[in-house]
Amino acid sequence: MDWLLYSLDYQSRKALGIGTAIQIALELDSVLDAADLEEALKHVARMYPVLFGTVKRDLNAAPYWDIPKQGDWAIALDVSRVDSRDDAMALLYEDAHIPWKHAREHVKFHLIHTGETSTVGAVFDHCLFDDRGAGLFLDAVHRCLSGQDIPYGSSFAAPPQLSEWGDKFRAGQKINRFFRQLKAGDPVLSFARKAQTKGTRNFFRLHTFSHQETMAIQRDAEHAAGYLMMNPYLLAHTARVMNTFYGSERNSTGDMVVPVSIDLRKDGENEIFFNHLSFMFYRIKSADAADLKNMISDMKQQMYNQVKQGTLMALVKASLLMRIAPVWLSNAVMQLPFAETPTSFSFAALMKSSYTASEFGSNLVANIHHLPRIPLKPGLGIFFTQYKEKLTLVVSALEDVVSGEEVMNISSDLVKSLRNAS
Amino acid sequence: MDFTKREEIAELLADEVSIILGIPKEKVKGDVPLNDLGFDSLSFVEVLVAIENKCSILLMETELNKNDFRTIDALADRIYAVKNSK
Repeated sequence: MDWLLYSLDYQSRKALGIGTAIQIALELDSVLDAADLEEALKHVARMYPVLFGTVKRDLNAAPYWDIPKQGDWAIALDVSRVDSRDDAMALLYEDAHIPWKHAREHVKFHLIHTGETSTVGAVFDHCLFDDRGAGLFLDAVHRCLSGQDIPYGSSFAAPPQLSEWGDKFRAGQKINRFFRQLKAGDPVLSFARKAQTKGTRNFFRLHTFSHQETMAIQRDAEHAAGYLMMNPYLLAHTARVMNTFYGSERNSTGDMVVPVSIDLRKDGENEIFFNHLSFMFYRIKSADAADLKNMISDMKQQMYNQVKQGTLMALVKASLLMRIAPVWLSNAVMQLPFAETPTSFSFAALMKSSYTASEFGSNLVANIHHLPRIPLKPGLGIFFTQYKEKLTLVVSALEDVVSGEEVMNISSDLVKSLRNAS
Repeated sequence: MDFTKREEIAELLADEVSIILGIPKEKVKGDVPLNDLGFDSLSFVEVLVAIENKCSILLMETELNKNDFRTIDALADRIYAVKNSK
C-alpha cells in the first residue's frame, strides 16, 4: 500500500505543490520546555535514521527507501508564543501548508506556548507515516522526554514484494471487477473540482464531544447498529448529513460512494514507519440516505461482502503492481480504477488513539487532535478519533471544493445529528 | 475436522481471534468481553467470515443477537447451535 500512497502523494505534490500529510496536535495542560523537546528530537533522529530516507530505484527498477549512512540530519522544531488557543490552531494550520524543505524531510515539530499551557504540533509526511504510525512516533518522543530508552532503528524492513506477479495480477483483476460493480448504476454524488492549482489550501473544523456525550453516542451506536458497530454507525450519520448537504447546497441527488481507510496492523503490532492501510468502499443508496436503520444494515452487509471477497488484501496486493513502473506511469495506471469511480467524501474512524500515554514528557495531555490533509480525491474528508474516552470530529476539505462556511455547517449538522440521536 | 463438538468450535474461535487480532492465544479467554480483547467492527466481521468458511455455515443469515457477541464462550455456544440445527 506504500506505493499506492506514494503515487497519491505524487499527484498531490504535482497538482497542489505539497504532498499528503497528517498533522497531530497535543494540547498540554502546562508549559513544555523547548530545550527538553529539542534534545528528545535529536535523540529520536539519531535512533531512527529511516526518518531521513527517500525513495530511489535500483537498476532493476525496484523501488527502495534510501537511508543516509551519515550526515547531520535533524528534525525541524519551531517555537512560538501566541495569545490564545485559536491563534495556536491558526499557526498549526499554516504549518500543514508549508512544503517540506527537501526530499528527506518527513516530519517537523512546532511547540506553541499559550499562557501557562503548550501545544505540540507535528506534521507527518504520508509517504513515511500513516495516522497510527504518527501516534506511535509521538509515543517514542514521549519516552525520550521521560528518559526511557527507545530501540535503535525499527523493524520496518519489508521484502521488496517483487515476486508472485501472477497473484498480484489476479488481485488487480479482482479490484477492477470490484470498482466496475461499485460505479455501476445511477450517477454518484461528487464534487467538481474548480481548479487544481498549486497553493490550494484546505479548511478544517474540529469538534470534541464531552466524555458524557461520547458515552451517550456509544450507547446509541450499540442500540442502533449493534455491539462493536460504532464505525458503521458514525458513517451512517455522516452519510445522512452529506446527503442533505448535496441536496440543499449543491441541488443534486444520487448514490454516494465513500472510501473508508482501514488500518491493517494487528493490535499488538507497533510498526511506526510506512503505511499499513487499505480501504473499504461503501455505496450508499440515495433511497436509504435519510434512513439510518436501512443504511446501517446495508453498510454491515457491504462490509461483510468485502471481507468475504478479500477486497482489502486484494487492494494491497494490486497496489504492489505499481512497483514495476516509474511513479509517473504508475500514477496513470492507478488513476484508471480510481479516476473512473467518483467518490462523495472520504471517511475514517480511529476509535483507539495510537498515542495512549496520559502525558507527553511530564506534561499532562489535555487532548489530541488528528488533522489530516486531504488527498486529491474527493477533496472532502470526515474523520473521527477517540482519546481518553472523548470523541473528536474533524471535517477537512480543499478550498476549491467547499467553502469554509460549508465546512462549519457540515460539522455542526453532524454534531447535532449525533447529539440528538437518542 | 468438521467442528461438530462445542469444544472444537471454541478452540477454532480462539485460534481465529488470536490470528485476526494478533494476540497470543492464551490471552483469548472465553469469558472476556469481545471489546476488551480489542475487537472493532471490521475484526469482528473477519472472525465471523473465518468461522463461516471453516464451519460451512452462514452466520450472517441467522438471527444473531447482541448476547451472542458478548464473549467468546457466548459466540461458541451460538455457532454450536447453528451448526447443529442444520
